[in-house]
Amino acid sequence: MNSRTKAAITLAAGLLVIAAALLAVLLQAPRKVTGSNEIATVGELVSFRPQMTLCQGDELLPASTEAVRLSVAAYIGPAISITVSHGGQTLAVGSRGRGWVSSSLTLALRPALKAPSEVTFCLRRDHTRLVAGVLGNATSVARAATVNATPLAGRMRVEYLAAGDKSWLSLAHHVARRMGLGHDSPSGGWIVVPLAVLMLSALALAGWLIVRTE
Amino acid sequence: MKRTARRVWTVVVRTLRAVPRAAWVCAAIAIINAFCWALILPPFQVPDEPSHFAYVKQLAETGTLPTSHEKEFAREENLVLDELRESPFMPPTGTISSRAEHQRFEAALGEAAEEAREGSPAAGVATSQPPFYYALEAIPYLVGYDGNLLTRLELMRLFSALFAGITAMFVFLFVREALPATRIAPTAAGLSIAFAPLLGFMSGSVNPDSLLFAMSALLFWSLAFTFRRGLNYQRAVLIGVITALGLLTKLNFAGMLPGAIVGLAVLATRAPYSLRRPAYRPFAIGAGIAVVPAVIYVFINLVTNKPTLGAVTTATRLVHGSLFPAIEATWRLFLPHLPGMKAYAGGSVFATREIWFNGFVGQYGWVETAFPAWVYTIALWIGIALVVGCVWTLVTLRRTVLRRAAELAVYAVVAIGLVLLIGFAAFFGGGHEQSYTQARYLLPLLALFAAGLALAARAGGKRWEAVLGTSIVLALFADDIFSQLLVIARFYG
Repeated sequence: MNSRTKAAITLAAGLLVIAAALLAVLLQAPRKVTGSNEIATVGELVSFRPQMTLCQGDELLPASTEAVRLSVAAYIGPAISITVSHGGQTLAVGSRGRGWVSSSLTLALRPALKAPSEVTFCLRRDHTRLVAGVLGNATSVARAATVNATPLAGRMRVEYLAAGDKSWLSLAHHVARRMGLGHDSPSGGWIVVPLAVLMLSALALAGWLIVRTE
Repeated sequence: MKRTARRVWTVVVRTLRAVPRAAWVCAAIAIINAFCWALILPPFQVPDEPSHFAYVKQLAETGTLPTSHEKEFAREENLVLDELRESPFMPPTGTISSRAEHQRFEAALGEAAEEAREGSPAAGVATSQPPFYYALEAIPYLVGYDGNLLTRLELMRLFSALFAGITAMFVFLFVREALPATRIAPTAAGLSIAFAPLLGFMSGSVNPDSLLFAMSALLFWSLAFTFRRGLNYQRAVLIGVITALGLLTKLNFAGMLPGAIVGLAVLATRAPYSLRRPAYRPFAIGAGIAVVPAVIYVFINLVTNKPTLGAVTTATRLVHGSLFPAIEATWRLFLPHLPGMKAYAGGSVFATREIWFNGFVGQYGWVETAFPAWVYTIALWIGIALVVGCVWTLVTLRRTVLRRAAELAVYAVVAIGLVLLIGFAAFFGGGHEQSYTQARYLLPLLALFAAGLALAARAGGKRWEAVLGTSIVLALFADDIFSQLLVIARFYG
């Protein structure tokens, strides 16, 4: 078997694997946002340090909430755990290991909440030197989140997530429509068509060059 | 005059014709890829894009450089930043989501575009950067002058994407010069870089990094080209001009300046003994041209009563005692700490992996859009295999490596200079250890990275080179496609 044939076979096999992985991703259903506490992320409330326990009450979680997205940002984030409780009783817990990178932190809850509940979140973190900022907006002292029982200047933003029932593939139309918004895109959602054509032509060119070179 | 112009034109045409078709294809793919990133990325969701846009606005509208490091941008820019609710604190939802909102936004932008354009004297972090990239970006800005800000931004991004093509082309040409024994190596290297998602991401935005990567690839190619053919006046001038333009592109290129000068010096000493004395003249000319921007910079600072070496002077004032703490901090920012050395961030971050490797695999937006952790773990195993393959090939080719030790040492000096600059900037400017260091800072070394990939592809011998080379290209292509989907899901999902 000459090099050209080997390259062509590798290319075909590789593209099949990538296509299968792509399909697997597109058939996954992303979590959906079922609500939020409507707090804007205006600025940093507190730098979340080791030894701190940050609690925020009066959160009305919808039924089926299986994760929460918190406005906690980090360049490289520490391990953070959450306890969701109501009247002193723990309803769910969740955690995320260190090393996350984001302007928001999603924590899966175990178990998912079965019924709507007014709950209190309490966050704790590891003892590393990693820096994490809790973001949110000013509120009255009565509604404010607390650190080690001392009120902060406001509350952090929290979004409530439930298991999604639609795959990325079935959401493709919605995603394409949004891609045309907030951009200089005369074609609106049709922007995905030239995008797909461009990437396919790049791939075709690369394939041609690989086979030709070998 | 006419005759000179014709001669120059002839040389340009002959040079372009000498570029192999494969290099053009790599360039085309890199441009297409960066175009796609330019279309996908929401406005200003790339590190420092608002600041770089403001710099171009100031230059194009007033012909002067920005003067303030504040982020008080022009009204139309603030309008976009406010309307799209884009800030580093933004959760993954919240931007414009309906046609009605979009129309209101466009109407407001149209009104803002009607107002007098008075530049943007404040350009945030971009203010201290040299003007070459911004002057080039003023061309698409002025072409789209009658349009609203989004039109101008998109044109500027598409223009910036062209630099990705230059980067991929010269990475191809560098690998062809550096590893001349195989046809597969430059193609695999050029295609891998063309599909590198971080290159597409940065080149698909308004950021001088796109031109910095191109100038760096040009520098590596010019050095490799000259090492194979010997130093003469034209090649010395070429290296000098490339270095000077690199210095005028972004301050980070200053880290590569010592390597360029050392490269010229080594090339001069390699001339046969009888020709050595004449060879020092091209060296002097090349080095002289290379340092012209630095000399002008010092002169301007002296005339305007600023610190002589700008930020460098400020940094050196912060040094108490010796440079050792800065060198140690640089070491642990890039490599695992040695015994007796403090660990980066108290040992809670393995910077080599979590900042540099993971960042190269894919962290987007304002470095807050990342893959799930398992993706980086898989990529790490592939990365380890590539490093092993590369080392294996170098061991196999040890005689060639030893014969070309001087050339390799020059590339190492270029790389170490950049690494020291990044490390020192983080140490003196970060305030604390976890400064906002990003993997893109190492992309000026893409040419060396590509050569490493090409060497890894040769690890299996001639029999497997085609298979390994193709697999590496496919891995980068897959990374690119899934990175684009990640960003689409983050901002539009």
